[in-house]
Amino acid sequence: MTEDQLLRMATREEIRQFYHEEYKTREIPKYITKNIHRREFAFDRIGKGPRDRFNQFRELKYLERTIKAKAPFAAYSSVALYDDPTKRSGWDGAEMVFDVDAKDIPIRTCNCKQGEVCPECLEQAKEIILLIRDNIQELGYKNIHYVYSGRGYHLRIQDPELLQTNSNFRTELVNYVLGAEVPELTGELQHFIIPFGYSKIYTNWFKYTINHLDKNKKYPGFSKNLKNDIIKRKELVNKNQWGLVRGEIKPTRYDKITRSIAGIHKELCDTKVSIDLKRILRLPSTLHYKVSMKCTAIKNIETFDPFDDAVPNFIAK
Amino acid sequence: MKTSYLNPFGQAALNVLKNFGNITRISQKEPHINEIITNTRNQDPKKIDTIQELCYEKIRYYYTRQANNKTSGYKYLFSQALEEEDIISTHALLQAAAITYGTQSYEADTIINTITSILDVKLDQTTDTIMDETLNEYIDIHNTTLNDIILLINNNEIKLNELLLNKDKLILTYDDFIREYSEYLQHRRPENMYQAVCTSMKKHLLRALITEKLRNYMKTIENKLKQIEPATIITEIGHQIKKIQNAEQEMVIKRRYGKNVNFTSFDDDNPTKYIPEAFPPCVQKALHGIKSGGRNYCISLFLTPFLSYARLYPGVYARHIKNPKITDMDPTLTITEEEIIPLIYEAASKCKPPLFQDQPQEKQNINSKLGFGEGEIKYENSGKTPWYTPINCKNIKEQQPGLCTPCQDCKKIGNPLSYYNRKRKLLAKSGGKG
Repeated sequence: MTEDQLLRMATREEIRQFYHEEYKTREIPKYITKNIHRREFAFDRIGKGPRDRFNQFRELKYLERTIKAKAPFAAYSSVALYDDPTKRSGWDGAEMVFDVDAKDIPIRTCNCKQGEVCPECLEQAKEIILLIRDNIQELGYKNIHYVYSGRGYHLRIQDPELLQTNSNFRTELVNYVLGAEVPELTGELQHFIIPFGYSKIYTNWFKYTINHLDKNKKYPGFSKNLKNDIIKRKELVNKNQWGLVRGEIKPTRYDKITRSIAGIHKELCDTKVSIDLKRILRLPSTLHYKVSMKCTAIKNIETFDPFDDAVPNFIAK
Repeated sequence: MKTSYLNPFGQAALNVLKNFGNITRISQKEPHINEIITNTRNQDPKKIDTIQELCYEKIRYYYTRQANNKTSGYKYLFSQALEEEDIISTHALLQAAAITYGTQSYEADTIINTITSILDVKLDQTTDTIMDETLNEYIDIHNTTLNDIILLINNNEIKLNELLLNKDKLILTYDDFIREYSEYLQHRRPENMYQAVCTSMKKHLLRALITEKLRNYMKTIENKLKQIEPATIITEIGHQIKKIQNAEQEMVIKRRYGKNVNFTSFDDDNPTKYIPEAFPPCVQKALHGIKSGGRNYCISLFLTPFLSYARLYPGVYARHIKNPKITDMDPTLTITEEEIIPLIYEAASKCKPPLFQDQPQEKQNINSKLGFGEGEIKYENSGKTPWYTPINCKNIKEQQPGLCTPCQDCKKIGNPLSYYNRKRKLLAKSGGKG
């Protein structure tokens, strides 16, 4: 099967077929079904975004009936729990989410057109979500779940101490985990001199980003010369010869690179999703009609392959 | 040096308060204050002989520092010899602001900033041991987790990446540092690395803990106000806070613009009435509403920052004020609520379909772009998110090309706000409004 056949938009008829013939609510993860009555559900009924909002389902069977009857273009559930989801009142905590969308990765190595995805950038999205996972675990968070969204990955953290945090904390956590700010260090210290704490996280992402820069693409904050200069020294970066890299590029220009790199890091995931305390996310088990892939709760992220595990029957056949 | 030099809420500081006696003493002459000031190195004599006057001097110091002017005349504020007076005056200022204006007021913020700006200098003069002892008055420095201080991050008192964390444990002591990281320090002196990495973190943390305590103390005072009549002297200090604020703000403007403060009607660092004739074509278009597809961008991302900055801080790109908050320009939020929001809402209602009809949540998004986070337009919410600066022409052309119908005046202009500022001045020159 070619990529074109795999990641194409589903027709209205195929969407209906999917929900009538193969849709199963048992594929909705337990962390959603156990408090289904406290979540907001939303539907995209005409393919123009989730305009049918503020829905509440007291039991899973009612949700199933609605989804099968509506055969929506997309279905969503909130990351937040409410006393009354129909009014989004009585907010009682929200999962913390990292949303990596393959089409929005600023350092994609594939040649996809804007807005499109391919197996290569989907693989890169997974790579990024795993690096985020490592940094999250470094902070001691354990209750982590993954969802393949159709065009990327969601990482949902449900540790109780995180659920009640506000947008300030979440912004800080995103910046920390993504290395989205240049470490503020005293004196002559540089990020690469300190191989632990936040400096280590920033340095690891720095390496990742440099290794994925393409000399034929443009990146915000990088002039052509600056970009080529750092790409040329990729091997030195990989060998941790940081002093040499900084010396050759010159400290002022190196500082500019550190700032621009931090800017790229911030774009690796959709920050708005992470800090939004009332966000709705694509519901695992439903169809992402724009790419004809199933939004899938992932049991084992290491072995998960969307082209084995998230292809709906109407495509597989 | 004692911990009470830094911490106005530790046991030593509380003992000072307990033994101070009647609050009216703060207005009584204490000649030794003046003596200490005179004897402080490099300090010109000042006639300050009451704790009450010391309170006012602290606020003046804060504004002097804010204006980036020399603060060498205030060295005595960091003298250990005035430690007791310092503690009493800190508590008096906090009580006065909480009682007279409430904890969520501009005045309360000024007092918090006053106290923390003095604390910053003291932290730089403090030894590691005193810092550890003071930290221990708030947390267990051997055993503190991220969860223990999560509120400090929630409340924006400290940044997560300023902390050294191993799993969720905060590494604060030298012993913990060596235990966790010695393997990485083979070619470096561990003591130096500890100093370089942990000392500034400990300062940030202590500052955050004390600031949080200052806010909580004010809340307690505000709540007690329902049961207890405040002392007259505290109310008097409260009224004086506002007087000093006004006088000092006027001085800041005069220092910035010279004596003839009214030399121009284009004081772009302060709220300025709208000149609709000077709005660029894109803004004029957006004010008439947009069709479905570009409404969110047009109203929330484009119009909201433009209208708020054009009215409150048109000179934002001169960067006289770093990371401004709306309440820096409009402390009472009257202009925001009575002029800016109605204009944005009117444009939203002219969209097809009206924006809030199918997307009521966009109102919250607008508040967020104005810097109020997820909350309502209230003083206490200001600064929860950044106050979005106006989008530049390049971005508009990329994201919403239909909005950009450039006129002759758009040439060489990169941002609609720059257009507006230039056009206002041109109109004024040609005898129009300005």
